Amino acid sequence: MKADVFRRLQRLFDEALAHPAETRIEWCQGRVDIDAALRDQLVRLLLRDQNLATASTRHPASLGTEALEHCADVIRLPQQRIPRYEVLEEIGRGGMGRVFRALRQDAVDKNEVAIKMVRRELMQEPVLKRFLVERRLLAALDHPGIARLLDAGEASDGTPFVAMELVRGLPLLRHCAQQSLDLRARLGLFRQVLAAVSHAHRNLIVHRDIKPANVLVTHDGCTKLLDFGIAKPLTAPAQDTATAERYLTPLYAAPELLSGAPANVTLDVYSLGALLYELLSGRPPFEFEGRSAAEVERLLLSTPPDPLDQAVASDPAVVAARLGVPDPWNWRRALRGDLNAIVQRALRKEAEQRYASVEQLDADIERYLRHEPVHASGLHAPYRLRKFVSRNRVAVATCVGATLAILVALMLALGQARIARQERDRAHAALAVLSDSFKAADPMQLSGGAFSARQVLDAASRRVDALDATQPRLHGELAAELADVRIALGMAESGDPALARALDWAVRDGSDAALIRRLRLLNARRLVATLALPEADRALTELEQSDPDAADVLAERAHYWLVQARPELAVPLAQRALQSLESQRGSLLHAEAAWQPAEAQHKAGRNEDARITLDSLLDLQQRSLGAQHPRSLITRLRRIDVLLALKEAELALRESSELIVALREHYGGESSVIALALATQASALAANRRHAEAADSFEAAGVAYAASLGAEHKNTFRVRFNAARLLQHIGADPARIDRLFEDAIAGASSAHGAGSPIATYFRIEYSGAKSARGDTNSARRILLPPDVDLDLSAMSTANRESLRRHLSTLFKPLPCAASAGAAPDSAIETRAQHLYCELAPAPPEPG
Amino acid sequence: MTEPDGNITALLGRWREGDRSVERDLALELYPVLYRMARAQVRHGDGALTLSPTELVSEVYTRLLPKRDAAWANRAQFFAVCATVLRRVVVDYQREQGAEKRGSGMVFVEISTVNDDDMPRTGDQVDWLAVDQALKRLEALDPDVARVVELRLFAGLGNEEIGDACASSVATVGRQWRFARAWLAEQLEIVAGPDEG
Repeated sequence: MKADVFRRLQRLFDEALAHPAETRIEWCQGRVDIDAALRDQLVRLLLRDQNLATASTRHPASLGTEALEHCADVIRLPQQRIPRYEVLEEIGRGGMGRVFRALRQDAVDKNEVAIKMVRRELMQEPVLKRFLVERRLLAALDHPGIARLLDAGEASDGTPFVAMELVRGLPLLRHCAQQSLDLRARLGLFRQVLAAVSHAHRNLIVHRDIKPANVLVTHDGCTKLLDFGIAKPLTAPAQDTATAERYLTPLYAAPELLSGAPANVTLDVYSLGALLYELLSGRPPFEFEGRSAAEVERLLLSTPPDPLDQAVASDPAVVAARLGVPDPWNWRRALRGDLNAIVQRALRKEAEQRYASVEQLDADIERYLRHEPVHASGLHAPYRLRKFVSRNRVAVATCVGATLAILVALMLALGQARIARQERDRAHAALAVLSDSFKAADPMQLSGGAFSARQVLDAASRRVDALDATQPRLHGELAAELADVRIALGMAESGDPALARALDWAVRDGSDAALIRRLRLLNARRLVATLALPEADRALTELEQSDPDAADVLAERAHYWLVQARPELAVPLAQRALQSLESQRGSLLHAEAAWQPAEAQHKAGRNEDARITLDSLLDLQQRSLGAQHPRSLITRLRRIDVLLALKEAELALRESSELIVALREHYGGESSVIALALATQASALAANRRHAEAADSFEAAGVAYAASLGAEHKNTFRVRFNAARLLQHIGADPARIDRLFEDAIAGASSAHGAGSPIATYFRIEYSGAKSARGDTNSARRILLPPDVDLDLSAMSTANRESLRRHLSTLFKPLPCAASAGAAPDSAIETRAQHLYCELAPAPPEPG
Repeated sequence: MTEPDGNITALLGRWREGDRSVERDLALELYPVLYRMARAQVRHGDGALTLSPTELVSEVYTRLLPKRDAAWANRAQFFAVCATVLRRVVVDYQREQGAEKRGSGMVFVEISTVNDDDMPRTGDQVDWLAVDQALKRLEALDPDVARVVELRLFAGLGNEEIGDACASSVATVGRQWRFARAWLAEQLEIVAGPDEG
């Protein structure tokens, strides 16, 4: 289309819009002066415009009121007559029907009642059926906290109605605000509601639409639950409620309703949680106004509500007015901790993680009122997080540096009253982010908390990234925590963009010297852990210039020398680090610093010294912490390597077997600590020449490492490889050997690439095992799998030698001079020939 | 909170004094800032990605412009520069995401200020690559109308502010937008047209 035609189209469009919608198209068709193609285009555009103007948005948030808005009827009395009743006025309307105040005419006492009628325009079959169900249901409920059903029947035109006890009172929230009720009084009212709902649940009825407007407080201070409008017996099949979804009030409806999950009591637990949230904080858990459908859904399905005290803090003046409390700051303080834990647990996205019953919710509130510890705190993500970290953080074989567990730090921050509020809030936010990561890592909650560290860390990283722009300080702290955990778990990565960005920001911001230092140190530790040694050296030098005697810097420099295979340089540094931590004797920091000199001595071949160091540390720990304390046990575990080096094989084995039992108590069966203990036991068994059992232990260690750190963690594939080699050595079941080799190769390949030196090394051994069994074809395929380019340049000389030897036995290649110039192609022999020559002792041509 | 980037500050200074020739450089400088912020802001929700351009651009604005200039009259002008940059960001972002996920279904960026009656869409998803293509065609036909669309979608500006930025009246902007909306819907074949009834 040309620009001038386009402009003409535009003008005609504007002109057409001046005509009323109904006649626009007609008007266009009458304009015979326009050529047919353009006219056709104009009509299409106008139709688009009409469709766009009338396209209705279907926000979940509007589902509840949609029915109301779509029908234009004004407040008026019902047209139809209701037998036995005189209708006085309309007093309310809900999703499904209107409610009138009426007088029963034939009764002796002429009590006023509430009559509820189904909206005429909604009188389709399912609604009608539901209404009839409701009559039966309500008749079964007799509880002072539930508006009683008095009568039911049909109006003159057949519209069904129910007559209910007319409740005179104020909506719950208004009542509380008007009376300026304190926390205790509010909780008292809420517990009355719980008692009523509990009664309904015992009668197998779920309310499904509990919300503040459905709870009235009478003048004598009793609550009445109204409107079992969409109640549903627990035993009915799920599809019965499918049509009811659109009448729900989404602010208080549980997330599973979006997916039409069957009703059960935890649905009401959620709505009660939302009610309690608003009752205490003056705000519903989520604000949906002005949000798109997708946002609402996301809020409902995956965003945990703000902590109660933050809800108050978001707008203290407004909240204070809504709550009717004079001092929002005082109020806010009371909402921290247990009360928030209770509400959050009731509002969990996953139904099975909420209170299983209204009674349990009530019991926890009672505990709170009696100042007893509530159950809610013990059962959700922070607890799992704490457990997870404690299971995994101590025991990775490569972990030497001093590490502070995130959770230990965060929990302390949360627990210490004297810590400034700002820091507490940040700690709260941090905890929330990390807890969310757990949920994200294990969304189906299938593994019961036993998902691998990598999944959690990846999920956490994504969440932390999102904070970069909005909350740089929090981002910095969390990036530091994550880097810390990654390093402690032996999962440091060669690039950590989040850490780099955090450091960049902190330096620019310049206000938090401690954070800058911490990020710098972590960066140095990361570089050491990933063997980026020149950079690590620079980073450490920078730290040493400003802080030469700091224990953590000394310890990291010691680690640097250990990695450089210069343990003799590491020993004095590690000892100095330990000395400067003398005042913190008994702390985890001190214990970790105490392990390092022993490790350095062990690596330097000074095993007698290492043993003395560890023995005296153990003595100290056993006296101050107790023999069964995890830290004492870990020290013993570390001592086993030294014992093995000292040829005390029997003692080492006895120790390791004892330790596995003791550590299992603390860390559970599939933790990385147990994996380390099993691998240590395997070494001890091998040293005692008990190879079959050693292989069993390595294999079990592989299972535990895979469960805790993931199949692609270096510890996992190493112990699997060890198990395979031992089994091969003793001639065990070939299928088992093959499986272990293959698992190890797959892990190493996904961690470092299929052509990486470690994967190639594993394949050389596996191929050797196959070849020893006479299976030359498999051996060839394993050694040179199609589509894998071996990274020869990164291989050690010994491995190049060994690869060349294997190629020579398996493929019988020609002398290289004879085949010079042969290009690699798909034929495996040609590839072998080429590789063989490339690996020839003379260095390959550059280029 | 943080000091604005030196270069951006200098460019902004010149630009505020009326030197429109720096707009291109300014856009180049703003791109990485907006890209990083957009990436941080984009959140996954059921496979759709949500971005709030209004929030984003406001944040850039408050971050880059010193406080004393808060009431600065050229706010709409600044937003207009950002709109162009953000359009690139969104398209690049989607391309980047799409490159990873191609074959497993299209990845969409949802922009939170875009309502159903603002923008043709299927369900909750807008294919911004297609929108960008259509906008390019529109630019060739009528750059003014295309600009209105850009400002509306990628800076979240209302008709009044768009009028400000384009030196045009609210009524004109309203007309242009209504036409552009129908035209885009036709181009993108999204909302039920005459064929479907």
